[in-house]
Amino acid sequence: MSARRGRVLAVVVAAVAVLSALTGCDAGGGDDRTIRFALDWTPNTNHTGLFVAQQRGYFAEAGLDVEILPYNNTAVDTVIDAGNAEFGVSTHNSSTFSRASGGHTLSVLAPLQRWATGIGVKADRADITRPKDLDGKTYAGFGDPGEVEALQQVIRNDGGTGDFESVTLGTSAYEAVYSGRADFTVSYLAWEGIEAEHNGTPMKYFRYTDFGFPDSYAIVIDANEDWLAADPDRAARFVQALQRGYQFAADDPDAAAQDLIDANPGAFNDEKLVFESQRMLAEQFMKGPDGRVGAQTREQWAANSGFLYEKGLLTGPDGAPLAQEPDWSTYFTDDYLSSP
Amino acid sequence: MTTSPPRSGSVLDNPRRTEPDPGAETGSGRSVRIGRVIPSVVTVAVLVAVWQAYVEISGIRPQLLPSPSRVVGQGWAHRDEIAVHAAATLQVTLTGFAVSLSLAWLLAVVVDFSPWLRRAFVPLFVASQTLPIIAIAPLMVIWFGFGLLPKVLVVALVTFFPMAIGLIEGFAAADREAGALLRSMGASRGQVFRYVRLPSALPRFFTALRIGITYAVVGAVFAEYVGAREGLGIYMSLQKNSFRTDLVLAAVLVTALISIALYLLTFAIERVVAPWARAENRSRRG
Repeated sequence: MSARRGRVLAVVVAAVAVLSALTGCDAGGGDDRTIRFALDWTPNTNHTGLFVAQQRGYFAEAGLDVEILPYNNTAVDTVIDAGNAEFGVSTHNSSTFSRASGGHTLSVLAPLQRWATGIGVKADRADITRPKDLDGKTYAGFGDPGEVEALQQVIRNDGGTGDFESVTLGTSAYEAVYSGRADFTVSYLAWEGIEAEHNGTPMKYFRYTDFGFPDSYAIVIDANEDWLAADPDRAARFVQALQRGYQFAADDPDAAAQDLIDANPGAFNDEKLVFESQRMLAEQFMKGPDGRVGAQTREQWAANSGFLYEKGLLTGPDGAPLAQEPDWSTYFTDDYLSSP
Repeated sequence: MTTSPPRSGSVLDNPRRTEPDPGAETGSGRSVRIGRVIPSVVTVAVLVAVWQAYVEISGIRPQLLPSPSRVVGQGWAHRDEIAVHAAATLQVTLTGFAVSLSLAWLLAVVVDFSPWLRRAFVPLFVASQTLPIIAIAPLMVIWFGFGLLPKVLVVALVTFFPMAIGLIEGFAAADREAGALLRSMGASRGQVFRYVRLPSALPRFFTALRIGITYAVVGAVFAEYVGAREGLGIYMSLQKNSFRTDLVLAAVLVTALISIALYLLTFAIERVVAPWARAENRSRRG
């Protein structure tokens, strides 16, 4: 009997060892010299600043070795939280959900200062002229938490009921709307918007802020906060090199678009789209009031993330809905940006 | 044909005359010997205990690795929501599997009667298995919308092959001498099929059915992941994006339980439909 117990014990010990090895991830694991940056999608103009910094040697100048991790199906904030990347591209909403649930992620830079998406319907839909008309229609969505609630709010602000059918399609969402299988989706104005024009399926858009919905940072750069705390100096050098890249992209969109194309050979079938997209972002979305890129404000965090909280969408680390509104100033930091 | 070695279709035996076989039950119903399930229960219990202990000792955060108790607890707390999605997945699974099953039977019988059609179809069956579902499934959504049809097709595509091949080979493996004996007594090709080839194919068919049904649930979940209104696949995707690893795993657990339940159901069906097949599958398993 004792021999058998010994064997069971051996199995347990072995299993624990294997589990530890599998999940063993100290913050900022991997090669100590490399900073890993996780992408949220295939390369596009939301990433231009990163590739500018890489192509123009800003990272090298700062003495940093940066590895760009390609897009996969895991949420970027999960990758960062697990210590498998130091930085990554996230969205205002995703960043909020991650931190509320106890993730060690922190927003350090906002490449886009405003909603860069709109509610998209085909331009030839005479029956849909305003958000109110979306009641009873079919939404092709992405399975993002909070997406449906935001749409409902916009529709209600326009006098509708907010009752529509929602289908989660992910990458097939746009095709579903172009082909008429679904009625509306959410498009990046500076990417799918231009793409739709080029493909002969022009769309029209309703902008959230035109219908009483608070503004948001369409894209944020999230970091692993444990890594930031452990190496604040390298963190600041990285964020500032990245900020410099995005600033260049906002000031000289054509050269930046070319950098993006050069860094990703074969990724873009439609290079004209890249230039048009980067120009649109530079003109409308990237610069703050003072012309700088990257800074964030507590007010904008409180407005958009506060909406998620009020709708009861945020759950804490224990799995229960948040009982009190978080202090939104702890959800982002401008400390690593270059001083104006 | 006097002795009945394994894999003789035992047509000429009385199919009902299966000797009781103490201690060698394969599952289902009242005859399960407690002794047979103990090893698997112990294994699962040890794995779960190790997992729970690891989470508690290491203090790893639940977003990265929730403990089993949290997965079950949160899953239970969200049971109403999960049940709705599970019902949708079950509907897709069973509809898709029914289509696949009917097609597999139809084509396997046709192929058994015509060598020409066998040569025409079997390569196509094999080819159906080489399609990367991950590339085909999104296209199906674009072609057929996001109702039941594209998901049923994905499930059928995933499960059809093992069942069709199992049946075709089962028919072919029938005892030649038994067939010849019946022919010499003036039986038609159809009668030989009915009395020799069909019964002897059933053991292999049930093996194939078990493989197919376990694929079916996973196929349904994957099909939903690509595009659906509801279902466990959609639920997992939504919870993943909400950083609720515990609820993702709760949905995984429900998926596994549905698969296991359907798997066990095949034994119950086998007992009713083809009692001789159980003895034969057992003897083949040794």
